Amino acid sequence: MDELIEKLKVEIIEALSLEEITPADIDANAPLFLDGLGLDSIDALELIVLVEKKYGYKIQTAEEGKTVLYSVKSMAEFITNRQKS
Amino acid sequence: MTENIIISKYCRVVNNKIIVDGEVVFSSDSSLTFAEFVKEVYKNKAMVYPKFYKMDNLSKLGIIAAEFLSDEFISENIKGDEINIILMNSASSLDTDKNFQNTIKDKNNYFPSPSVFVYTLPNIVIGEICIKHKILGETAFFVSEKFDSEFIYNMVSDLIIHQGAKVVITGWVDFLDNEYTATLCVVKNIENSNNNNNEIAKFTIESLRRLF
Amino acid sequence: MKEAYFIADNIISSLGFNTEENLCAIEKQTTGISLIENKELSDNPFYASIIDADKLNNEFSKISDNNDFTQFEKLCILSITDALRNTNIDNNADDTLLILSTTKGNVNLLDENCCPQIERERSFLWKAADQINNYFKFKNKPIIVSNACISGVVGIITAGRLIENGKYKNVIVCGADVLTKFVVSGFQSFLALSSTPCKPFDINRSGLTLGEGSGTIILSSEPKSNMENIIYCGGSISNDANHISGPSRTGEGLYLAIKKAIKQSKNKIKSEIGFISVHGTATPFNDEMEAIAINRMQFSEIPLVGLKGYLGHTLGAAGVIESIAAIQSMKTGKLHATVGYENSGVTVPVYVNSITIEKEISSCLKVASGFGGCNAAVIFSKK
Repeated sequence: MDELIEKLKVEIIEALSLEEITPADIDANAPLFLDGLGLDSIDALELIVLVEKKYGYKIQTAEEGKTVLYSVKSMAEFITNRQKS
Repeated sequence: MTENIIISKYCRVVNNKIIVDGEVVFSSDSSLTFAEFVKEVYKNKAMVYPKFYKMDNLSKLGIIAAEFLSDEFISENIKGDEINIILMNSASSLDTDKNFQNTIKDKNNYFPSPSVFVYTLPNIVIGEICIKHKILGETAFFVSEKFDSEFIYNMVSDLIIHQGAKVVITGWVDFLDNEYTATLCVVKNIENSNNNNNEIAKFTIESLRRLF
Repeated sequence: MKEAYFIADNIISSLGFNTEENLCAIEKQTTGISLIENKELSDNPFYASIIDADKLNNEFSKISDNNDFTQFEKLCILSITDALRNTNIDNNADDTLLILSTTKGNVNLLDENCCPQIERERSFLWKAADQINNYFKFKNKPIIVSNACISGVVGIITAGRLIENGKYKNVIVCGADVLTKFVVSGFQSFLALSSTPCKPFDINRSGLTLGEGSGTIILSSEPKSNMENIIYCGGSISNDANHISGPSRTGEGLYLAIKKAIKQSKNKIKSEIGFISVHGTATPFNDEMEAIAINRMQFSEIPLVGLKGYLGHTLGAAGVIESIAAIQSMKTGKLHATVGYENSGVTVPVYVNSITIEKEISSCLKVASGFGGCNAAVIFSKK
């Protein structure tokens, strides 16, 4: 899980062009969309693409997206749960 | 009617150089890519605007050019809805269109990117400039093989004479396959202004032709 | 200042190849939206309003045997030809101008498998526009507006101003866009497409439906003698300066555009605004934003008409097509129904017209909003 979280952080920074942010700046438990990273609705959509492209799991609706994309940790949990099932 | 309308400042971005009112104010090695060049500009201008890195090339080009003119249109005497932007180019958003096409052309690697798609409209560069500088006035994007001085003159003077515009930012912002040119200028109505205005030229079709 | 009269028009969409066919279907509340199963556009079926390609080619063969045109160019040429039919405009005159409004033009030429006989350079909008301009032998170089979903309305405002200022006598505004995999996949990636035909302003709306088509409207400084004349009263554009894709939550930009358009029109408008032709894409945020702006204008009692439920969102064509329908409403006294709308799904009171009704109307307001935070408002009135 920790490994996946670190990998996701790097992928998020790349996918969202977060030029001035390093993986260490991202708190895995903190909400991705409230503040800090300054992410918006387009970033959320891009993260949905990221999860599908890199891990093959489709987030079906905006509602599901809200839960899965809450934090880096929740993204990692979503991916891990899918990998198990 | 148009004697009180002037071009007060212009900025050209070309060959990794920034030229303001005819003077080179910033230049990078011409071997740098556009991405490297604008990063240097961003740092040199001490811009604190992380969103810049998310923009497509056309928007970065427009944002940079506008940055060097902002002291001419940001003033306590000018409200956001009195500032207008009319831009033109040849390639529309084709540079980003091609990038987006690359995300959908391969059936086995089909991942259309929303953050690329949103830039597949040429007027997004105007939206970005408006967001950065809180500009709420008229904005429009036109496409033409070459800069159409007469048409731009007609539209800009109508905005100032009939629509109550105080300032119009107008010009050319074109980007395709790593080739780029931007020339933006600030056009002002100085009728009711007592200040000493920076003046490059009277606003005429001829002066636009010379500039573009 | 001169007056700009609307003297001729044409609409091409899934509902027909001229204004009359389209309006006839709209008055009967017939939608042109259907479930599309076309792997070249999308792997999954989706709702859209599309024009049958064979029908388009057949119509085009009636006016030209030249096949060196793309689907986009054919749509424009057919539409302009039909609009010009009942006018005596001299194409070759110094005071005739073509304005082309489009978001994506020939973007399908970026797909190397698409129409191999067509030169790739026509993905440049000006090159496609030249193609169309040359077909009609218009002397002046065309003006191209590419300003997202307000392109059509910006085209009309530009034409109105050029005529009012005496720069041209006749300005032909053509708005067009075709449905491509490019556009469909983009909106899908935005999760913006509705899983049913779109439902503007409705409580159950869940996104937009795409469409394709073209519309042409001709503005002239010379009125037509044998018909009731409708004029361009004024128009305005604004920017939200808020977000490049999300509509403003306060409706400030659209509110500003409407306010300025009304101020400009006050000496030309014949009566109070009779109805508002809305943008009404049926995305949750767009319709809410429009409702807020309209409410702030204290226009809650004025009927709203949205046409996206008939033709989908035809992007660069939408503003022109919807303006033509609005002008026709003023002429026929038939106010169109907002098909897809049942129960209000916006948080402020607005009056959405849900069935075709007879109503004497002397003036109307057309609004549009789009990506890049842009808004436009234009006012038409009987003379």
